[in-house]
Amino acid sequence: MSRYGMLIDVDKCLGCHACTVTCQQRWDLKPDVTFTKVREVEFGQFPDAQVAFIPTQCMHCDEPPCVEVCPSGASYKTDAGPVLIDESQCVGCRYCISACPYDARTYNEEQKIVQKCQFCFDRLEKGEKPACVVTCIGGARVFGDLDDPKSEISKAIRERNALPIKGTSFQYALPKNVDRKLIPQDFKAPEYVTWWKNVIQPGGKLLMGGAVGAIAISALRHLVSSGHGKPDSDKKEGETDGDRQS
Amino acid sequence: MQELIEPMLTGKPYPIKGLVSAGTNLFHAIPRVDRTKQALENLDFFMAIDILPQEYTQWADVILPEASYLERYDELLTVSHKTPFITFREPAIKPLYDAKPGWWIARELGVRLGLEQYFPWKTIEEYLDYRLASIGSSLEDAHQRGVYIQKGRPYLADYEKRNQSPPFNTPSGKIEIYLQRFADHGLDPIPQYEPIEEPPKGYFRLIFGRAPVHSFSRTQNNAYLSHIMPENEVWLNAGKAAEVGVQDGDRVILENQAGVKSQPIKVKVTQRIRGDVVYMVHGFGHRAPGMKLADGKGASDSELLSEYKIDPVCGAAGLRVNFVKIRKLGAVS
Repeated sequence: MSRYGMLIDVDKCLGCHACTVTCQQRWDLKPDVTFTKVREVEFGQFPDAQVAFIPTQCMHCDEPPCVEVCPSGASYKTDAGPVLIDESQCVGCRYCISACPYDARTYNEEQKIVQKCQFCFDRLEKGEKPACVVTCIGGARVFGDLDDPKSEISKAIRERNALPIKGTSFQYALPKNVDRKLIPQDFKAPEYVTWWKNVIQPGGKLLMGGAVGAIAISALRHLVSSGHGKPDSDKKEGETDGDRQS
Repeated sequence: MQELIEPMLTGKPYPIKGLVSAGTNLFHAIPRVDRTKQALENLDFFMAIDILPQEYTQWADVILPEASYLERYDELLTVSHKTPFITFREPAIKPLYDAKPGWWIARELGVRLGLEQYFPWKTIEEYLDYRLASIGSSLEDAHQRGVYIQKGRPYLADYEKRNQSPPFNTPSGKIEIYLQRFADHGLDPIPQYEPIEEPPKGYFRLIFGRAPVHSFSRTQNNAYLSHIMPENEVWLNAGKAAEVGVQDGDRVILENQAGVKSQPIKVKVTQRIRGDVVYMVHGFGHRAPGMKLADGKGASDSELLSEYKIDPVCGAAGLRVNFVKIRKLGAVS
């Protein structure tokens, strides 16, 4: 079974944004909507000032918080790695947008659904690579099967001393002078997602279940007491109905 | 091109009274924009052929809209370096509106000027097919391949092994860095550094360059690229910014040594530049209402190039010889 991943080589990115635009073209996005972004970062002092260009996008996390919080099940994790959205199931609640630790999701105002990088899964099925990888003129993106030690990406990870972003499908090769803080951090589920997943959602289900149960019991009691005139076994000897406190 | 402007004004060595400009952004690609404008006014006839309604086209007597590279065939590009190749350009769509490919414009003008005999082929497809036949190929073949690549060429060692003279067309047969030919004519056989003129006090040397997002002065109106980089900025050394009294993001005017003032431009205070120069990306500062996204964004570096120097030996133009002052917007004098 393949496990798809991507290596970003920060040393090779020159900030041309070909990836940004190629992705917009193939997914028919408006100019102000991007699935992949390239950030320019300057650091150091003259005459030793430096610049780095950092591409980022959906990290296709191992345990995606966006999938955890999705109420309709539109967002899902595939076995091969890519986290996808079934647009027909998306209700546009945008909870996933708040849940994403990497700010990778966008809201489509016209279609009222959420969209994001899909690792060009339709191209993967045909044995092709994602558009951003193919178009990169700097050779800063490597894509392939992380589980195959002979794959191009596995080789590149070894040769370029890439850093895995733990909990995601991404690795970054960093030049010596670029601070680890400038690239995406290791995966950490937002606090409230853990609460949502482990406490609130099951608690809510429990409450809902409890409410349904209570209604059912009450309905049954009414059914039993109204139809059959059973003796009131709760009455104590000598008591009349008027004496009982309800 | 800049050397053709002078005769348009002076008539020396002979007058130039007509101009057909094809794919040359006259107010962005050539320094001394004031001089270009004067020259155009002096012409009897000026025709502009361009893919975009750039500002200089508005000065033409006749404008012919040209189809972009996505809408046309072009001449083959043949490159004969170590790995020779031929590339083929074909249209992805038919031209929009009334735009026509450059080859069609040239042929139709030729025919109307009684020069049909020099255009024996009626379409470029005919011409390309004919040309490709000389290498045993065809237009149909080109559609399949896109690029023709010839595998490798002999390294120098192969020339020596075969007792062939090396492929360098020089008197010594070697790659020449020290040029005896120059020495023989009283010129420096190897370049000697001569100190250049420094900026006057209060001025910075203006240098310009490229950003990978844009190409020349022709992509600033593209919706996607314009969103990523809508304008250029003037880069200023962080230490100097305090002296000049500007902060990152302030808008300023650049005024050069000849008193030419730029459009307003945003300041980028940065560590990535030395203190005696300022830098801006080329190709902005359009004043072309037909280019709605580019119009009025950023400033034009070309307009500030009032001066350029010509190398006395090879004739190349040096443009980074202009100096600018930074004027805060709203500043007096």
